[in-house]
Amino acid sequence: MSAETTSSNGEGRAMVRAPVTVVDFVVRGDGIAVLTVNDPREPVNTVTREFGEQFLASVERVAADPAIKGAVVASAKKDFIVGANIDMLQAVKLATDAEEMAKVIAGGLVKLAALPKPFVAAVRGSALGGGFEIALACHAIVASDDAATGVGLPEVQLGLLPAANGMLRIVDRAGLQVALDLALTGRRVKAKKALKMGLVDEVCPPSVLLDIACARALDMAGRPGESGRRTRKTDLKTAALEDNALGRALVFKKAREATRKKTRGHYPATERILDVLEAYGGGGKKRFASAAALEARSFGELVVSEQAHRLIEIFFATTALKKDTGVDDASVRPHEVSRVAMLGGGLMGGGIAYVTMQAGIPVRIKDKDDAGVGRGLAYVRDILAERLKKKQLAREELDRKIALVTGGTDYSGVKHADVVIEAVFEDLALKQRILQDVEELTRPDCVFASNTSSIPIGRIAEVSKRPETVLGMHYFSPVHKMPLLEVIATPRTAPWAVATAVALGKKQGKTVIVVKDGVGFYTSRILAPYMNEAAHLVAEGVPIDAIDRAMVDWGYPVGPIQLLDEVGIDVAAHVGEIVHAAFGDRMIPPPGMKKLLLDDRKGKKNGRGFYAYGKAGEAGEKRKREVDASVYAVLGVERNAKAKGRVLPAEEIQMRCALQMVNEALLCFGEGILRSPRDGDIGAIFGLGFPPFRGGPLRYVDTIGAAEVLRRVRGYEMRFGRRFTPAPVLVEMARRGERFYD
Amino acid sequence: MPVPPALKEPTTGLSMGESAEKMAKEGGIDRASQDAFAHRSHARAAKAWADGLFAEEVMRVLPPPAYDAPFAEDNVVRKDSSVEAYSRLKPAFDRKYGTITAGNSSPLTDGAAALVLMTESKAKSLGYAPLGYLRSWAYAALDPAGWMLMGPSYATPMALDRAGLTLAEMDLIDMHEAFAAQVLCNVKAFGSRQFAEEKLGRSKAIGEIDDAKLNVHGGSIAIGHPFAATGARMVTTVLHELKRRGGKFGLATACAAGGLGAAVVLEAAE
Repeated sequence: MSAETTSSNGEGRAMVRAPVTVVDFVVRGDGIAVLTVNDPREPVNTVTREFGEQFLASVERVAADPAIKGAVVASAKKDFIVGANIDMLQAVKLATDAEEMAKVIAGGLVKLAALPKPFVAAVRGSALGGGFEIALACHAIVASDDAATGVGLPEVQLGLLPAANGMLRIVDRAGLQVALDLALTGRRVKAKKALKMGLVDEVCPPSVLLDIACARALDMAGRPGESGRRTRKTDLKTAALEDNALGRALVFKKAREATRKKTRGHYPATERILDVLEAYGGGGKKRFASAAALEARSFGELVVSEQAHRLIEIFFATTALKKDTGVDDASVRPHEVSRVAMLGGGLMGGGIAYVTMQAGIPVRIKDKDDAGVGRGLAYVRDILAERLKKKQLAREELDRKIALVTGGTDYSGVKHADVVIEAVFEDLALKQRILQDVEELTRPDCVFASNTSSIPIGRIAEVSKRPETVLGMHYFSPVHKMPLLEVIATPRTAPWAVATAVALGKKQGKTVIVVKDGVGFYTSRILAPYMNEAAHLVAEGVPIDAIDRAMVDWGYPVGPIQLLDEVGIDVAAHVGEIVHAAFGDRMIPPPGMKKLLLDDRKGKKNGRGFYAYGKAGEAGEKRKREVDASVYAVLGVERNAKAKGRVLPAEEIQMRCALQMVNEALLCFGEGILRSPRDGDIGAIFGLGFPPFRGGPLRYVDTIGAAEVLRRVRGYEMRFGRRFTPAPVLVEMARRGERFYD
Repeated sequence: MPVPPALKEPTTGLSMGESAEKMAKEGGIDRASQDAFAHRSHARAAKAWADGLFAEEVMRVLPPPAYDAPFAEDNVVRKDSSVEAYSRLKPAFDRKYGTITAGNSSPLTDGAAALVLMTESKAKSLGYAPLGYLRSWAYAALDPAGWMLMGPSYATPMALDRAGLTLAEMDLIDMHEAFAAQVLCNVKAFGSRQFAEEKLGRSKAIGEIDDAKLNVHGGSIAIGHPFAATGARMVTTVLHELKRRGGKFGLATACAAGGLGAAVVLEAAE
């Protein structure tokens, strides 16, 4: 860079209106202005009011100053710009305010795009949402080739749409289908892939990124008349679909169908995204203006929508959980975890070993025989091999990663473990024996974690010589895909041990909640009455598929009866007995369920359950799952062949099942199982698939109102008795008109 | 099965087998004594496995990608070794005049071995019981264009001197078996005063090797020779066997490509 640079930090008008400098403006000796975004208030750059003002002022200055030939937009932070400031969005009360906000930024970018002087975005790290849209408005995008660099439009995940015309510009440079893909999934695309897809123009090493971007701007400035802007290159098939109205109509029809199948109409953002892109159609200036207007208006409506509010609240809750150590005492520090031992190499053990390895921590798998150890090692390797096949991983990385996982049938390699996690068979005596073995061997401050889903941790800890190190780490299957980890603390568990488990869970990529010990902890416990209610509905003669459909329509990813089949009817029955014994008649199972086990129906795993299964996983997977009609006779349920069972409004199915989960969550909250309403909501959403747009069981009570929820629960209590006895917390809150959240 | 690499020794352009052929011919090691030595190696290794002597030293391995077929034992040791069987093999390197066969050479195999070296005080502070002590060591280099695999005969006297011990004081001698011919050449040289005078510049021979102490549980011919693992394997076996028979000192020595030799004098843990 030249020494003859001038800086305009804090000059003139901007100084008065913006006390912080977010955009640094430097003109290089060669006439290229470098706009460096660096928000001193935050660890990342976001689109804020101050940013908008200073950035647009900088664009004006580039346009006005004849000495400036072109400009480069860069970031001084690890990431480029990661999107709109969400606090700012959450504070918006009126749709028209949000629309106005979008129009200011979008309008400024339209001006930028129309300037005769070239703007080049130098993207390193994440360029997301509004950040990516700013880059897209520039005349070229140069991205760094490191693994941390990527682009995306994640707005849809918050129930919003990208409102600075980024989608439209993607249509222009990469095509309609790419725009649909990015906007509807919200996925992040790594730099090299982005180059292939036409989302960026050039990829280079981070060390030369700024120089390359400046050189490109200078080069473009030297060739006036040529736009330098990337134009779309398409193959025949893409052209046939995208370059004529008929093809586009087909694309939109398919996209709408696929989207509705997934969202069941619960996520208006996806509909609006499709509307805006359909309005833009084949592109062009005139259509741009009308599509942009629709985009801004839709954005305004979405920002104030219930769905967006819930999803933004979840975003904040998970962000807060990332910073939460899991214990209330701020002076407690987690212990360093540099070795983990995994006892049991089954489905859970293999999965936990995988995520531990992904955290870069060596894992030792111990199982009782070679077959068990081998299964665990193969589980880890199979996931890596799949990623290798998809080219998400290089061969050397696979070798390096797999070397972190070793196994054996004795306790060698366990001695120095900082955390030992057991995932052996659900048998109290076995788990206690293993705990004693481990305590003989390991350091006094080695944490012993049980991955049990049904045995209270306190029972396992009864035989411990150091119960302060014993806790639960309840993972969900499949471990490498499910985002939640429930850490369970007994009254004797030391805070440092809890903090250590939480820190390990976060390193494993999990969202971690800490709950108190008790039967079923939190997630398994609130799932039990929900599943039980579905079983009662079946016993009443309600068609199985009607129950599942109703719950999927309400927003669950799978219905409760299908879930029973997946979890295993034997396992569910076992848990059912435990919770019935612990909580009494509230969790009384319907008559007839035992008959299923007598009929050797264990669910998907033995191909016999509520649904019909083809021969072990073949064919049957693709086609629509049919109910195994013979199950009704086994249950002794009367089913009118013509009416296909008892007709019940979907709403009653939905309310009965969902309110069971909600009421149980409220009981847990009242009993102090949860540290906060936030943990209760995140646990239900991330662990059990409670519909995210409803915000979680406790947030749901706030949304509907405690009094209304109580009225409904009482109504069912009158009809079905103790199963629906309302939680004291609910009664209390309804009486006082209270909410869980401010 | 692993694919054996084609090995040309970089300094001589000869394969290791060709170097061994040269030594066998010039040293007058006949086919029968090579085959007998190979049989000895297999028979002893097989017996050691059968008696469970290797159980403490060898780790069971689950090989990827399926991890479903564990390896618990060396799979190249011939449990039914007979001298006659060796005589039926054709020479591998010099088909016409040669005596080195696949049977009296060490097979190139997959394998790994590891030793942890640390000071005694460190081991004590970590609560580890040492397998044994490294009393002394020596490396030697000789003209690779000569008898390339004579390294043990050059390195051993240096290591013994540094330990202040004699060969007779060794309770065990473990010599890497690259080829039966190479071992037999070295055994001869150990006992040869002429070799000592001419090649080592010493007035006395290193010492006669007592057959009862040499490679008591077989060697690389039977067990295989995974590059870079054999040395650690030999040291492990010597230390375990010293403990078992209540011996005090052991010698482990090996030849290597490039005309190198290595020798270590080991001392049993109390």
